[in-house]
Amino acid sequence: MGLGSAISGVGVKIDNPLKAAAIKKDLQKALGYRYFVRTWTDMNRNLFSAIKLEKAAMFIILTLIILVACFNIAGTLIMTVIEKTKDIGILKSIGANRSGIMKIFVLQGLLIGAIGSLIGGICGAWLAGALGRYPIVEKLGLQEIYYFDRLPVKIELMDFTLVIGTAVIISLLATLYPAWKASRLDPVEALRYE
Amino acid sequence: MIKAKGVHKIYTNGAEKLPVLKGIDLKIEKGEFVSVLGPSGAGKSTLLHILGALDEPTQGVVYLDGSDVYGLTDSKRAQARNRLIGFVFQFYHLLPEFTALENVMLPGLISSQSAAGGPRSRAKELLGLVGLGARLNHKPGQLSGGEQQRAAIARALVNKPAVLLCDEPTGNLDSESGKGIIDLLERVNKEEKATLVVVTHEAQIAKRADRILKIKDGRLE
Repeated sequence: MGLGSAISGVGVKIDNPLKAAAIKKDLQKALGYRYFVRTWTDMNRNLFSAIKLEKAAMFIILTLIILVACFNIAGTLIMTVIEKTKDIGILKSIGANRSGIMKIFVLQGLLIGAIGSLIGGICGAWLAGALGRYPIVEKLGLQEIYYFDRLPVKIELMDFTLVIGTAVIISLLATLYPAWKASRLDPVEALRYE
Repeated sequence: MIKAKGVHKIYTNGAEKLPVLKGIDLKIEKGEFVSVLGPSGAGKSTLLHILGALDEPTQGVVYLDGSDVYGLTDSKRAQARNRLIGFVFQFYHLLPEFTALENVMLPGLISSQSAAGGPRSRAKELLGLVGLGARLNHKPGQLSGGEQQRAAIARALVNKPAVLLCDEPTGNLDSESGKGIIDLLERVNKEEKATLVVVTHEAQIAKRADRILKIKDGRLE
């Protein structure tokens, strides 16, 4: 390019890559406006925005999956309420009140939700851990494209509890309508139900 | 004990109105054994449900132990059903997943003020009283019709109700088991001093009562 031995750029290796943004600021200040400092995130901007988009897409997909699971819980409970119509009538005839009947179905739905979330959480954590140990990239022959042999996995306790907690709360919400329906059944009609 | 004044019940099916009870007035004293006799479709069961705080009348008032039951909130009414009333139905209406003992305990578990010794010992005592002492852990499916009805009577008695309301208690039984059930109900009426109301279409059974109320086309004769 006819530049001879001139230098067009200097690479700086730092201990903590997450501090790049702060170091960039200091460097820029020290070097002045004639130099241009770029961090690794600036240089791979397209990649990071793609990852961000992927995260948003994953969030939408997961929300839809949870929504479907909730409809499943609600559907199962509605079926149970229909199946147990007569038993609800019997319980009312011996003195169960509306809130007592409601509690039965909320508890059932909550148990389904809690057990499901717990099993799902444990399986997910195990799978993520296994994915971190198993050299999947290498086995798939993609090492030359990605430069590493396994997927980096980090299990955050906060994310883990948040996901399980949200799933349990959503399943609790899914029980409310069927439980309310059950509590409102007319006992005489319910006793006649075959 | 029970007082009903101007009780009407009209079922509506869309625009169609079906009057079942057309102005019932009655008074049943404490400890009395009363039978309600009438052909099927006369409104006997509806009347029993209304007296038992289970079905709100379209018009009229029902007093149970001095209080207007349909003026109470839903939970107070449920409490009254639990503590004051015991129901015995034609089809027993036991919960199929529970044993005889658990079924009998249920009203005791629902009420917060359980009998001395807890509902379990009271349920055992009652099942013994009705002759099912050896069948505590049998499920309803493993009991005969007569035995199921005995268990249902024990369940009705677990909270020592002041009133026992029976809807065709022998309607689904052979004559011998039926007689046994009526004997048992009569004994409960005498020994436990429970007011007993039996709805039936069989004159033979109605005759056992202190007083017979005849119902026809929604009116007492």
